[in-house]
Amino acid sequence: GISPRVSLLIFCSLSLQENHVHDKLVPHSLLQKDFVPFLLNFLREQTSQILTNGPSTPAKTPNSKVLRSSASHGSQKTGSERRAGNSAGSCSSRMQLFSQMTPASSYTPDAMRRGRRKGNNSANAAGQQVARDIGRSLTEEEDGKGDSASLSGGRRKRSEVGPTSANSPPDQLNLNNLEEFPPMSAASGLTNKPSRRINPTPVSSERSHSKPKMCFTSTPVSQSPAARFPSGTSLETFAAIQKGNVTSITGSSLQEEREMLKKERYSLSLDPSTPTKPNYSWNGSLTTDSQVVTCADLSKVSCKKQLELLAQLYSTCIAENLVPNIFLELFFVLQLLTSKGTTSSEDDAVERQHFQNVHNCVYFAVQVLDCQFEIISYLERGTLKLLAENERIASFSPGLHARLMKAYESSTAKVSLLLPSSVQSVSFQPETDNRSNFPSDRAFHIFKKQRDIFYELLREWEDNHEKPGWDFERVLGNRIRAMMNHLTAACNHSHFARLFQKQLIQMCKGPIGGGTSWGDTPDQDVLNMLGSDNLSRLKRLQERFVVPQSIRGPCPPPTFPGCQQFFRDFILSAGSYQFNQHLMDSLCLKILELDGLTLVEHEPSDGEADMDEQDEKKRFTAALMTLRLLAKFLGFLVFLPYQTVEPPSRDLQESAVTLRNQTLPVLDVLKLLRQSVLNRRTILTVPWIVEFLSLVDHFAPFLDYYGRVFSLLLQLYRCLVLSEDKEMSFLNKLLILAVLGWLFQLLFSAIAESGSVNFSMHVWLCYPLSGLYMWGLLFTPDFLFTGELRKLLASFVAGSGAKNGGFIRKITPTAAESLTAKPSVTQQKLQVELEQAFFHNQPPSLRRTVEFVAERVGSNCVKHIKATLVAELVKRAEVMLQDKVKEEDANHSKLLDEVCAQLYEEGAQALHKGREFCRLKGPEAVRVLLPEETSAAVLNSAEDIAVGLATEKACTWLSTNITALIKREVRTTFNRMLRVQGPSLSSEDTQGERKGCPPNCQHHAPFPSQIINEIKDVLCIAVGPRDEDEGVLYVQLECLLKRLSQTLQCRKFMCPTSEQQLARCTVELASLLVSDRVPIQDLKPQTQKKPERQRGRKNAVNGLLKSLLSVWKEDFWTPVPVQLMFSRKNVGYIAEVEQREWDLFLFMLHGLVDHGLMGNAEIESCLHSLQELLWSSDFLEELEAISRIFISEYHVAEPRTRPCELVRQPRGTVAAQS
Amino acid sequence: MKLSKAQYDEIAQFLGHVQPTRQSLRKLKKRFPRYLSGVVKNAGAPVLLELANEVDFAPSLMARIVLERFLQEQEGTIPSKTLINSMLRDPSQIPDGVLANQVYQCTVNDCCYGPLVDCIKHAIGHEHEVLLREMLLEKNLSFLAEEQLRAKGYDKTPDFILEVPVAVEGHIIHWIESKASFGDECSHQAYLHDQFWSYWNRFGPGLVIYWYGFIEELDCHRERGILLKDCFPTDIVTLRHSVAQH
Repeated sequence: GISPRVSLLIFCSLSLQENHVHDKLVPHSLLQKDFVPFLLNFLREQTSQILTNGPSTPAKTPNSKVLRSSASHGSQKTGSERRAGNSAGSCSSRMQLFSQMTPASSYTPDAMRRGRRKGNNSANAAGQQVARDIGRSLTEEEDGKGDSASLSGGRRKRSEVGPTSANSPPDQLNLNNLEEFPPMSAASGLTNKPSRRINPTPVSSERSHSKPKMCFTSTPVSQSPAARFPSGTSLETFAAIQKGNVTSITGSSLQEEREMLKKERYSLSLDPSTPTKPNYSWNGSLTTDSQVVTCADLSKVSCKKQLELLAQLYSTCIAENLVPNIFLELFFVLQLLTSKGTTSSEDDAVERQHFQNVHNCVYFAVQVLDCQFEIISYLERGTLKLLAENERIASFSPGLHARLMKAYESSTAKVSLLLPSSVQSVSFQPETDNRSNFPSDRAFHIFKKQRDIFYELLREWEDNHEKPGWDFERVLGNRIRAMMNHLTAACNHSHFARLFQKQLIQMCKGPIGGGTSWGDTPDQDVLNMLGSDNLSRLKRLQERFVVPQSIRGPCPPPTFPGCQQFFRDFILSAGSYQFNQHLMDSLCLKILELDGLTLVEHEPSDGEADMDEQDEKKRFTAALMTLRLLAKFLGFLVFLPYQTVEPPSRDLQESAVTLRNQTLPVLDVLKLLRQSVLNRRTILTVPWIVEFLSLVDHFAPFLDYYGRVFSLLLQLYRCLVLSEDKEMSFLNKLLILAVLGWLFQLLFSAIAESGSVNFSMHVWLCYPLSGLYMWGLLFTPDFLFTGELRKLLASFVAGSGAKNGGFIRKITPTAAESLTAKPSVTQQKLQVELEQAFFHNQPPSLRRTVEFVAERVGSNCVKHIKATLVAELVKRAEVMLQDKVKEEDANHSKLLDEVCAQLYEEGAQALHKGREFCRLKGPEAVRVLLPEETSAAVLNSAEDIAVGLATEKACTWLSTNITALIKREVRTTFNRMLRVQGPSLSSEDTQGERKGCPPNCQHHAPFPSQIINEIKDVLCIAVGPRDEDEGVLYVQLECLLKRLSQTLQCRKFMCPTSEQQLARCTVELASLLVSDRVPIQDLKPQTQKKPERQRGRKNAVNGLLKSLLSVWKEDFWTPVPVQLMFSRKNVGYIAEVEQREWDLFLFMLHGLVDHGLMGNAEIESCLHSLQELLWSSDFLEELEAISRIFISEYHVAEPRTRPCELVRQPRGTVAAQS
Repeated sequence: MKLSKAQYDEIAQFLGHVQPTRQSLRKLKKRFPRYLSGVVKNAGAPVLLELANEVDFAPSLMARIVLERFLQEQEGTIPSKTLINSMLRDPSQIPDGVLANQVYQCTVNDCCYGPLVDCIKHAIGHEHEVLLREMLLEKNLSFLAEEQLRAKGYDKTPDFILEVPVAVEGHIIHWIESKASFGDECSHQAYLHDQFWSYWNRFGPGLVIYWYGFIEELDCHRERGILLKDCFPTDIVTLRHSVAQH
């Protein structure tokens, strides 16, 4: 016979092949869409009382009344209460799979029962009917009459019992009487075995009072006991109440739950992670109260057959992607598996249901797991271990247990937590960050500061954000905004946006939202995406009764964990339109770049993964992670302006949608999505698009554009039936299904919140692939579009095998096109095809190598041209400018333009030189990078292609940019030239002529700083004030000057400042010596006679002066300011002495001339100007005399041959010396 | 030489070096007239220097203040900083000969501040940079020096950026900054803010060598990427092999 699985499949895909639905089948298409939700809700409801473990699995809402009453209930709340309440409320609504968009269609048996009395519409009735039919077929099978329970039988009955048919034969079930015959367990009238008869579920007393039924899946806000507690915990409590185990609820446990609620509220108020959507994180804890896990017993399972059939049906729904979120269902199944339940309620005959006890639940769960073994076997190793070691599975299905053990032993899958990248800064890159990238010096310097401020903020956040009471906005808000103002003033937003984005990627690209030091908050949605962690955690929870451990449920909203929080808060605090815009630009660009990553598919089961494959995987993972991160932030920014705290009203929605339908999307995700489907790159593109869309505001899903995006995603979801095939690897599909399931779950709640009645998302979701036209109707009346979609999908499905089809053709066929004569179009096409064919049978690494070489060589070529040709031109321009700038310091920019114009012509050489460069370097690189064994022919072709691509890249850039580049470089040089023009430049030039240390210099000379210090000490003593007996030893001075000479000769440690200081200090010292102000002690000729002593002293000083003169002349590279000896201050030293001695001064004058340090004329003019200063009359006279003597001596004798010690004709004291 | 903070404080207290305060500045301005009378009596007497000593004020700073006042009275306008600096560097430019001598006496006698001391500090800094360069060359660590970086247009430049990062005592470093001074709290904080963090922001973690020692407690950013040493490190691990001494 045909199994129920097959019949369901056929039923659900009746119209799959058809573009239109046959008239007769119209009601069935409606049936189809109602069936799955019905089944899911049925399961949730049936298990509601037994399941008290873990967070609620999103499923449904009791009925529309509840929602409405919850809304009114919510509106009475105030402030924080409201917020918390809202979260709970929307939690329940979010968790609804099939909420009441259409008030009439309520899927719960309960509601149906009630609705029935009011009279249902046909669609609803039809839905119920299918369920009943299936129920019937279940029973039939059970009866061993399964053969007839085939498709035809079901159909027949369906057609017999029309939607409006109210009458049924008395011996048949009154199918419309749902009070007597609840769905799924209906049709029991057909069975002959009363013992196995599935009793209709009587309406319980509480339900008859129209109280919404309490079920674990949702927390109706209207229910007062439940409303007090966060979802999940309340259920337990409530379940206990229902069971009458009130005693088990002690005051302390209530208190505990209140505490948890408080905590929850606190975390809600603290965590602004989703500004518009409440946080649904669920602090699930399993209380370690008296409740004991019931031991599941196979022998106690009742209605096995039905359970088996249900499990098959359910599994089929999962396998065929008829459920909105596969992982949610698996989560649910594991919940059932691990349910603690309560003691069997066999005595409670009134409440008999399929899932009345733990045994049945576990049996069902094990059945489903058995069917879904393939998916299960891909679970992460840890989870597999837990499953394999689960004693329930072991006792209920030894076969499954054995398979799980085997799967566990061979599994290598781990939740891949990449090494947390250490927090680092974004490195400074001169190409993008140096002065030439900024419009002005000011902008450059402002940005310099901003970079530092940014990191300062980051460090501060890092240090403090986890401290209690620390508030981002309060502490950093104003500083961020001040920074934004500066950015705006300097037009630096693009630079900062780039820095911001790079830092974001650097810190957050790992699956953990940053390094471990940034708080151990695992990226829950990544883990959820992988689908395993929660399951395993839940399992562990159950096993160990760990309390309390935070579980966020299987479908957490998007969050910004770890250091992503910093960036999110930064954006919010900055509140800068300009910044956001630049950041979006930057994000879009990066996303497009990464999305274009070359994907190389590998044979799925390749055995040992070779190096290439591993690299490929790493690259892919990195790209995927980064894309998801960037897309999340892009989504955050794009939808930020439209976010509202409260779900907006329907009126608002209409006008908003009308308005926003007029604008273009920031990033054309629809196009990218379509391309990815066409190119079979969904594995890379879908996850980030999902991330982007997870942040939509309330209205966005209703926009035409995003509607199309969602519908395409939905089609994709439907296509990806999980099974091993050649089209796509199982894991890839799993990933896509996981992320899509997550997104759909999110959207449902968003839509449910908005309370839109017409928007029947569930209709598509429950509709199989064939419903293309239907989506067209719902979303866009554009039929062309759906046609195109079908084509897209067809190509997706019918694509070639994995081996050669996977990668995108990134190498563009335009190689060197512009540089050579253009071949005909067909020729070109042929060439392209040949090139593709060439790569086709080569290992993928060849293509990568060629692409890589082309990219690098092209880029190096440009750099080379810059460093050679352009640099040369700039040098020439410098010479030209230097000449012209001297003759006329008129219009600089005009001058610049003129000079540049002369260079442009030669700039044209760049193309030629560039081509040369590529031709030379490309093959070299390819040869080095390809394996030695590569055949000559392959090598040649690879080289040619690489050269072509590189040339194309380089020359395209050069031809468009060379003139601008020349101009920029010349201008920079010119500006530098203008700035440094002056004496400093010339002194550098003169220095440049010398060549450092003397040969064989050991660099053992004293350090300049040491010598300066010592001279300073001498000056100190000379200038005073000093003690009577203080002085400087002659030998010390002598030695100092010798060491000064050594120091100046060794250039190693010399710097201009040191040398200039030495020059100045020595001139000062000379002045003090000349005026005999240095208290020299320890003069060698120790005679008592005064004249002798004086002569000796003078000779000694002369010796020192001679040394100084020689050092000045020989050892200094920098000009020595000897003119300072004629300054008012220094000549004043002589003037202050009562017994003036001029011969030392004269000696110095001649020395200066003799050493060529000053010219005669120069000295004369210095002396002359000295005489113009204000002096005492006698001093002035002496000065005049000296001046006269110097001049006369100079004119009388040959300066060079004149002995310096020669006695001159003095006056006064000077005369006395002779 | 590394000092613990406690040790450093003890020394600082012993030296009795008190930071010049606003109060002493006010006292100083009151006494300015004394300079004139003092100088009138004896132009050669070290009036200004003694004044500075009296109010416990760095002589070169005293000279600056007096010179400012002098120029202000003479010109009638507040003199520019560059002019003052230039005159302090070369007192010969000071129009008043007596004051020139006094100022020069102050700057020459000052061991902590003033153009001469600044220059010595600069020279020492330069010399240690050269020494460090030698050591890097000796260890075969290729680097980009400040001048090269500046030519490339870097906005903040440490003394050396290693072209290939190395690990010092287990910490990866990208740059080395040489400081020919003692790293006390005050100067280190200023350096952190103006230089070290800026380098980190651009080039990642790095090493600071305080050749004249530092307060041990300041070496607290190792994990974050700023390492302090008082000598050239011996425990260097390069990309390929270890050059550790032991």
